[in-house]
Amino acid sequence: MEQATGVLRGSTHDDVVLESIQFNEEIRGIMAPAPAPENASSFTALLELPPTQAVELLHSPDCPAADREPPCHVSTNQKPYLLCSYGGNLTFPSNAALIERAAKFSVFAGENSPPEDAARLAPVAVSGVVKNEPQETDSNPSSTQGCVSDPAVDTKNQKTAKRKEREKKGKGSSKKSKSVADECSGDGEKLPYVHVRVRRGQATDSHSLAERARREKINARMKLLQELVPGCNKISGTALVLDEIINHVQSLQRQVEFLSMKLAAVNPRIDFSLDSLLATDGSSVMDSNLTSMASPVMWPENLANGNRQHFQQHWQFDAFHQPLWGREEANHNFMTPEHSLLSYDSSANSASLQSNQLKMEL
Amino acid sequence: MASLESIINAPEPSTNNPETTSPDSDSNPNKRRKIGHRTVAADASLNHLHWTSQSEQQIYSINLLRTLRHVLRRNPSPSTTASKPRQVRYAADRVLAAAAKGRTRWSRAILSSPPPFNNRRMLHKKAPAARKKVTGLRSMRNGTEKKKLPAVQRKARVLSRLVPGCRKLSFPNLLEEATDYISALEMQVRAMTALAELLAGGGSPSGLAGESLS
Repeated sequence: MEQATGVLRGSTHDDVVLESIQFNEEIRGIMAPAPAPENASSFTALLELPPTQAVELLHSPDCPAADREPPCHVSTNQKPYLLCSYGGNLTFPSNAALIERAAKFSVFAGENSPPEDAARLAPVAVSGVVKNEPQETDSNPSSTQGCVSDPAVDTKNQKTAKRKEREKKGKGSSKKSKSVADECSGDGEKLPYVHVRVRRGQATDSHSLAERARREKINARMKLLQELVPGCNKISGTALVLDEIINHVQSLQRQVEFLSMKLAAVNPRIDFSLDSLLATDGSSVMDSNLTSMASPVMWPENLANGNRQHFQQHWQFDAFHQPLWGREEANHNFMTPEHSLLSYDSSANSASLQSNQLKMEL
Repeated sequence: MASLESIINAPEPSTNNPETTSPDSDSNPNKRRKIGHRTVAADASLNHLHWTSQSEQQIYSINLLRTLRHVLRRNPSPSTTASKPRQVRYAADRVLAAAAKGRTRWSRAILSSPPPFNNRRMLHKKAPAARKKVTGLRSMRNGTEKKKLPAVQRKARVLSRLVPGCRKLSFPNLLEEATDYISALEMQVRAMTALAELLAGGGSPSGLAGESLS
């Protein structure tokens, strides 16, 4: 961090050049473990730089990264700090795979001439890239500064690995991403921008892109629903899947209705002391609006009656509970004391302990 | 599971905000679109894990038991009346909605809905009026050409009526609510079957349990 601040303090042109040197060294260090087969080195190096310097370096001689010998070394942690200080619509990946992907797919906001590596791609894609640039600047009116976060980078890495595979398999289709991601360090899972895959020959105006994004959203949700509802995996088509979903919801609601009828038919003379057993630790449970009506009044009455003979039967009743529910680790606070209570043998000691506890509560 | 639940609890406010602001962003397609694709899968998987966890079911069962006691205590009439199952159903739904901790629309709608009203006179008044309206519309429609909405939209409307509180919801949000609602309903059915089996059918396997309850 000290080196970085030292770099930033200088306001001369030399310092600016120094920064670029550090970045290039940084990038070389990153790219060494995962060398890109394409000539992406010079291009990817540009991605690490702010737009002005990138344009400078573009017009400078090729492979600037190979030539310079950097005087100082900036650690990875400092880089995001430096990069965040510049505004811009750039991705700031800290991995070679990401750099590669960004090299292929991303578009610079301030750049007008296609980079030298883009010539490697199909000419249509390049022209599409050029065409898309002004639109991109329009569609990204406000650029937020972002810092790279590791979980986002990791998930992105997985995605880029998949995309690279797909890209290598499908030679003809050139894909490019529509928007550039600004990643916030806070929530690693959320992107403020939507990534839309635009295939070759597809319309790239904002309406169709918006529609495509909306459709992809809907399709993602439908897929989840299909997994949830049994028997929907084989059905194709939104309408039929919706039919199945509606049937499933209706059947579930009917089951609930039937079960509520069955439960209502149960003999209501259930032991009240079980209730009081649950009440001892039940303050943390969400009982605010549901059971608050008469419960605080009722329970002291029951306890005053001293239904001790019911306690022993309760232990057995709760023991019957346990094999049904399984011995799962309960996260809720109030569950564990109950389990500890349940683990007692049904004996007078436990019953008296319980009653003492309850009386203390009162 | 504990770490997963902490993850569930932490980003949930942030991931739910884009859901509520998505109608605004949909109206301005040129502006920033809030939701990334990853968040849909992440949200849904978190919700699904939430409703399928054993602890959640246990908590629900216990709460349901308590509310059932209250309902049955308040209403000690013989079980021939039709209002008791309705009250039981109402209580069960409310406990389920409370278990959702108000993160979803349907849960909030359930919790804010009034208790069932058991006055039969009102029901008879409503029915003839509704019937008149329907026949009037039908005769009109037979004369003119039938204009049907696209099938998907019709079904989406039906689904929106089934899921509480989702009448005027956009289609993707409706699907999301339906996902969570289905998971919650499945948990409710599981818990209630276990309870019903325990309370009503637990006579022979364990005689002591039957004794304590009868």
